[in-house]
Amino acid sequence: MRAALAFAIAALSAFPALAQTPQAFQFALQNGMQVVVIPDHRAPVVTQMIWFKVGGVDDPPGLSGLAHFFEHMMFRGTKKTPGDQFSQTLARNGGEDNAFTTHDYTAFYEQIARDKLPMAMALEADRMTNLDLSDNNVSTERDVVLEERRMRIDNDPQALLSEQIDAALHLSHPYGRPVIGWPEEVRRIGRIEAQDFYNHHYAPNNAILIVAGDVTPNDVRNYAQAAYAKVPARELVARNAAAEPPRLSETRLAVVRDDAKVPLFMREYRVPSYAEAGPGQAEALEVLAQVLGGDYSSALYRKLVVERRLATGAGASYDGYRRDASGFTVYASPRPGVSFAQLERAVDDILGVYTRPASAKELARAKTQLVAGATYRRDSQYALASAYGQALAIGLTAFDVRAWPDRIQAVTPDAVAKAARDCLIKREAVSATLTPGGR
Amino acid sequence: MRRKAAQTEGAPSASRSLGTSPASQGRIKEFLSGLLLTLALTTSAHAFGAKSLAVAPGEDVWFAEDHTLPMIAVVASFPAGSAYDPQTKPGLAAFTAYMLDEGAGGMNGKAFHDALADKAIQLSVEPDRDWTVVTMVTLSANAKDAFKLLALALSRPRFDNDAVARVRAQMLQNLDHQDEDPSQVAAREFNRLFFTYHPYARPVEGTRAGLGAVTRGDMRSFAAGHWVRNGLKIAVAGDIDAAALTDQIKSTFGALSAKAPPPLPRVGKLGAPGVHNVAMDVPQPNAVFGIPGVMRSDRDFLPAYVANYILGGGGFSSRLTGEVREKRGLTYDITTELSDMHRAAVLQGLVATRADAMGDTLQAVRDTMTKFANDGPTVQELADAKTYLTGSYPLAFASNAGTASQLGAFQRAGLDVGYVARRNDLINAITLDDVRRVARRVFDPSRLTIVVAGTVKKK
Repeated sequence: MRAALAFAIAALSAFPALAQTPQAFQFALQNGMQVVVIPDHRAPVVTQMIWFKVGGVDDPPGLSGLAHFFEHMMFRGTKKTPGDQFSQTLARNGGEDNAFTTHDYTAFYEQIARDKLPMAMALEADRMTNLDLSDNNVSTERDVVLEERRMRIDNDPQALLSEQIDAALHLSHPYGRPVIGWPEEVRRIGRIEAQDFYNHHYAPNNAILIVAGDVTPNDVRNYAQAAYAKVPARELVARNAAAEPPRLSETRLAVVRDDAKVPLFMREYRVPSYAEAGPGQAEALEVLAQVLGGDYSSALYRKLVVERRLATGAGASYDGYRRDASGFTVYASPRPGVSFAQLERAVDDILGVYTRPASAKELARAKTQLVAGATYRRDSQYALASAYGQALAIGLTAFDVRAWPDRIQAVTPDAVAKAARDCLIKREAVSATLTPGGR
Repeated sequence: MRRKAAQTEGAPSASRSLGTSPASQGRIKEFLSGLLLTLALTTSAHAFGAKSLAVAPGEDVWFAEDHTLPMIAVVASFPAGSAYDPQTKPGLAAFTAYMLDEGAGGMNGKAFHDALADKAIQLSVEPDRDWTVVTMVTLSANAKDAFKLLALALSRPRFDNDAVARVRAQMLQNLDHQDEDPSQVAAREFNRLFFTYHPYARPVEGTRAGLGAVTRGDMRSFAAGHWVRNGLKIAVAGDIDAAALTDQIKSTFGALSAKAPPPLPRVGKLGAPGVHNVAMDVPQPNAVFGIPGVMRSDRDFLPAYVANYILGGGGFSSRLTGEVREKRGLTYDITTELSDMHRAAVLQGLVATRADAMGDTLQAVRDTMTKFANDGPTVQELADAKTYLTGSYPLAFASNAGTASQLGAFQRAGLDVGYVARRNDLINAITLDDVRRVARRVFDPSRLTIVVAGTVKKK
């Protein structure tokens, strides 16, 4: 059976920057699997990524960490490819593989010689539907996940701080729960929970296949048809639509820990994501984050670190590729002898300045950085595929990805100032400090 | 994430990145292995096209031309590592390196950062023990400006007082940050014990006393003596032609001194066998373990490299991952790596586990190593290792940045450009006897130096 739909994302001559971004070809299989192909013929290798629209938000109440745990279980084998043969088979064929889980999506990927793509697809198609959860590997993998949590979070006071900030920032939404899970809840995960999760979320109609590399769209269509078309669509569980109530005050956290040796101020705002934002608003937030704290010439670093010598480091970031609200973070580490109060006042002063239009020069610089970043990302099949994956997984289109540099160029100083006024509202944010104890 | 990403695309470097994002706090923390990858992975059309450019005597320039993307990646490796730090001033090389973008010629630090940012030129620096590696990525339209800025930074650094004070404060705070991390604490103590009196024992990022003692004059001298043409390796990949690149190399690096840095001292005793503990109150102690390795010039280097892959470098294909993670669930990650420097080679690993499991974990490491030393690999293991190492070779050459990085790694190992194409044949020629011999020679657990950072609890 032929693929249902095929079209190329064509370059539009009215937008010169589009000519610089690679052509992506998109189609869907009959079972609902979306497919994106991004040719890159510089080397005879491919990167296959499968993005499932399932993540931490889909963890049932009381079972945070299930989505991430399940990502681990996907490597535990099928009847055809038992035990750890998935990764072993790929390694024997010169391939690399890994996976990651976020709140909104879980992605699995392989990087391998292009003639091995059909094999990599067959392996993925098999575990998409035939995963064997019958043996007792669940408890061993649970131990592994707990060690992973210890490594990433428990051993790291800054990571613990971030985790607490997220929990405070979302009053009701599951974004407040860590993707890796609270340890007590991870300990409750068992085979039955994992099986349920698999049945409800792992299906081709919940997946986006992205192939970047030395392939043609026709080849990928044929390979995907052969490998994935027979995987049956499943009825999916409706995703949690958590309503987030209004915040009535700023939340302030003051964490003191003996294992922290570096003081840190961090504030996170709940702001619209690319999926939720009004036209141009997410792009304005993107530019704002770059202007405020994207590099050593940006406002927070220049003023706090270089000019006023209040901090040793400072920056900002916008995590826009989320299905619901995003986080906009500003942070700074005070220099010895500088109080948090003094530092925070200085941060607020700088943020206040950017509620009015920034200079043309600053904006031009920020845009140059962001647009050049798109070119640099093209150098990496993984980064290129991820750019499409993270957008499609939250409901954007391949055209949105392709046209992103133009939308960034179109951001005006007024739009940036408006985004700062509308979105960076201190009394709705979480402001946190981490103080080294034992001094 | 299923496993720690060994070399992740776009992940922030362990070193301070110049002119780019000071830190990106992502939802998913990417961890870079703290150890340098000695052998580049994969070949591709890119790499086979790599050629040596004849620019000037004493300069090693490798070039992979590709005009598909309008960008260029440059990796310049200077003989400017921490092994050259004076004993009383550990951190001098790194401090000097981090000053690279803090002002040069007529441009102070602000002006220099603005100049980089205005053209989205990415300049980063990674000081290590033998080398300081400078990486520059630019759009090809800005190549002339990028090379000009780099030339200025290398030949006329300013070391302004305010910039020096600021970078010192940042480096001191970085030491504090390292003190939070048991993997860093264990690694530092491991080097101190393993290399004893040799400069390799001293931390690349310095000590508090060392950083306090470094002066502007020290850094000026260090730059003059080590940011030099003699011993410099340059790797370039991307959208530029040979003639234009030759001109750029000449004008960027031509004015640097032709004097060779002094030779590094030889190592004496290597290793401090036994288990050493650094007390730290952390939920998950980290152990760094190591054994003297095999030097690049040794005929057994590649067999040792393959042996390391089978024992602990091969991720889920490795014996250690099989025993410690898959079978016992004791850790999320256990890897080993063979790193060789000018004067020493070490086969080193890292494993983290909860306090009451460290004893069992270390025993599993010893037992796995003993079995491997006695029996060597199976026929299947060797075949699988070869197919992985040769089959995955093209992967890292699939990008300009990856290609330049991997060519640079080969250059620093002292190889010739023909190695790029020969490498897979050399791997395929390795026999079971070769690997058995090396396993018996190298993997003696009684020689293991083990440093555990964290408090180990009895079960």
